[in-house]
Amino acid sequence: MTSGEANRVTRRSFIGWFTLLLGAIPAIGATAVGAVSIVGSVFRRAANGAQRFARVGVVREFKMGSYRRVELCGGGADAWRRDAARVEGAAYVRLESGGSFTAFSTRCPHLGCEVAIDDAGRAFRCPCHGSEFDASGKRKRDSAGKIIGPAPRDLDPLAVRIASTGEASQNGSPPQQVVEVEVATFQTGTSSRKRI
Amino acid sequence: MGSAPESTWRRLVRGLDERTGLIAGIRSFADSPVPGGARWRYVFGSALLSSFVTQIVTGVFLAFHFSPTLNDAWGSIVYLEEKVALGRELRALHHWGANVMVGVMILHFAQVVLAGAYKRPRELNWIIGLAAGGLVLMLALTGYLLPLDERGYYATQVALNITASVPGVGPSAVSILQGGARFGVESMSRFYTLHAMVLPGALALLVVLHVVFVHRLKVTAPFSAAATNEPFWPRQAFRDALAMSAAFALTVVLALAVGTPLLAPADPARAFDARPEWYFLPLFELLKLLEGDLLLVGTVVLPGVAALALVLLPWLDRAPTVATRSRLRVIIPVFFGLAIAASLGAKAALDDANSPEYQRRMSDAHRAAERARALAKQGGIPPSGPTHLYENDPVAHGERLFLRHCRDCHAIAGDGGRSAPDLAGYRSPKWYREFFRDPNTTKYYGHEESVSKGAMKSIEKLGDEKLVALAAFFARGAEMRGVDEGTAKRGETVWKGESCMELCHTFSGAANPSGNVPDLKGHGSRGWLRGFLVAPGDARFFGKRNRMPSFRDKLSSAERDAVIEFVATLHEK
Repeated sequence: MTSGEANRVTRRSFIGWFTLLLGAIPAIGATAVGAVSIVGSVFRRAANGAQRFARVGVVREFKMGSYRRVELCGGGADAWRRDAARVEGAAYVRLESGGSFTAFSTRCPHLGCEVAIDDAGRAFRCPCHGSEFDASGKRKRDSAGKIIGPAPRDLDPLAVRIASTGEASQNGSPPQQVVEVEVATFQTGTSSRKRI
Repeated sequence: MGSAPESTWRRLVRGLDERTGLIAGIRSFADSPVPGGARWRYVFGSALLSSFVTQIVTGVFLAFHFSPTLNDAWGSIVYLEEKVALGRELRALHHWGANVMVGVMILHFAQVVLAGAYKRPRELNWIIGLAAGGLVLMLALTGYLLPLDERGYYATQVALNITASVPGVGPSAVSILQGGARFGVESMSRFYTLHAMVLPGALALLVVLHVVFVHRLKVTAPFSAAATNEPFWPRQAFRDALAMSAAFALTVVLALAVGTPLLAPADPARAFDARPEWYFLPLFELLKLLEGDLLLVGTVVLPGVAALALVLLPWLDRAPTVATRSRLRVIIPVFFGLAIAASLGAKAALDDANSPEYQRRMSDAHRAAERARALAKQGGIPPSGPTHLYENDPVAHGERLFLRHCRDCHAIAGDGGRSAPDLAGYRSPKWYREFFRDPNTTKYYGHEESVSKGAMKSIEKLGDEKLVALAAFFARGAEMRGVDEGTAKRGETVWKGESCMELCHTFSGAANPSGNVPDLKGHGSRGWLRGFLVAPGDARFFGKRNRMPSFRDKLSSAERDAVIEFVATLHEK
């Protein structure tokens, strides 16, 4: 091969690649913009990071010892929507003897099914894969000391706070003490507890 | 591993080719003979194909973000533009890509007519091309609606009404298109399905057929071209690739430089001057020219005749060759038609550009759009839909209520009814000053049906200095900000000094003994207006002379407050 022929081949292959590139630019450009737009959601989720609470009832509605299921309406934004009535989850809540409250997320830490509560309101069982939890949210063990079911960790506790409604009612009775439960979701399937 | 990658790659390609015939397929396109050699005039088809591919790509990505429902469509677009990385750019590429695609399509069409490429044996491919063109226009029409802003909504209403005007099948066609007699939740699903699935699917099918036939029948060389052929690769391929990139570059430039319009959310209760995209403007203008019973001529007859003539073009053209000179009888009418369409479109655009009325309404619409977008960003969109956004904003809510309940009687700067005072400038010192000069002009109480025509006489004889002070005094009483305190104080002195005025008007905040003349304490202030809207016929206001309806039952107290907040902004007008 002479050097002139080699040059011509190189030039031809350069123009060939350049032509392919020119032809592909529209599709590549459009795909790149679109891909960035959908991948961006991975980085956007931290925006709603502030701790939020949902009002679930007045203090005296809660009994000591047995759990009550409440729905959590946190009024949080969902992308472009803001819906004060949106239910974002549920919690099991009970009053403790010291006047404090305990609350657990109703989601099983295994794969997120809603755990069921027994009739006495004192123990939980996941209907999906059979994990069982006691009244303090701990995983139950069988007689051999082995954990029952596949859940990798105990039920996820939610923060509870007592707030005052601030306004006296019409007949002059003092402001109500209300129970507010944290609205939170946790990564399922992991032994460590991680908020998402 | 020095030479391994290349040979692995080659082995892979060879293996793939063995199983698929890939190389042979590519080669058959690359070696496809271009009659008369590579030419720039052959590039439009490829550029159009590339535009279509780009639209599919951007369209599929948009579908990841878009929520095609009445209550969410507009909000999902705002969210896309405000919160999604490159979301604004993605939408702009799709919007301007559609415009560029229609533009390239017109060029492609013109080139095919000029070249005589519709002639035997390409008649079928010509008709396939025309059908594909029709689908592109339908894609544009259905896509226009989807953001569900005022522009898309009203333009689509017009298109649907035109369709409904077609005798016989019209109303049924509209009912099928929008899923019922009236536009509603189902309409969005149907337009979205048409725009994102049915039409692009059908178009892709026609485009594949079109390209296969071009591959089989080759392009049409100019009559004078040498009878030699040249393979598609590389010289024609280079020209085509450059045209594809150029069309995309134009799209990118338009997308970045102009941006994509998104007006306020569609609200059937608001007026809007519907205008279609530029490529439908000729039809729009035609409809302005053909009134009444002639509507069908513009919507059905003329477009139908034009479409039929185009379909029959291969048979209308009896010329034995593609020589331009022998086909002037076909070329001239087609280009004459294009020129007429262009002039009609240009006239429509110029009419709007030169109409202060239209420009004013458009700038109002743009202001409304900005406010709606700001509200959406700030508080999100209620589940009841974006038209309820305004309820978070008293002024915007008040404006909507004003338009619905007040404008039939009260105009703002001439826009509205004429039986009650025009409220432009209301409660400003200037408004009061002009009122003192002549309360009985049509801007104030000069209308025939007015509350108190002639009841009050001009007080111009007091002289400008006193009246300016008096105007400032009342403007301050009406809670206007920025009124000069000194002037207002002097006005108060004027008021107290001119006891003649107290003979008619009181300044107590209570009912006037005569019962027919408004008490002026706080006239025009929020508190005064609150009472006035509830009971304008009260002795404290116009008494027996009153002609203004009470809004006690028509509006809630929050709605009345919103109207008052809006009226409080009118001093700027």
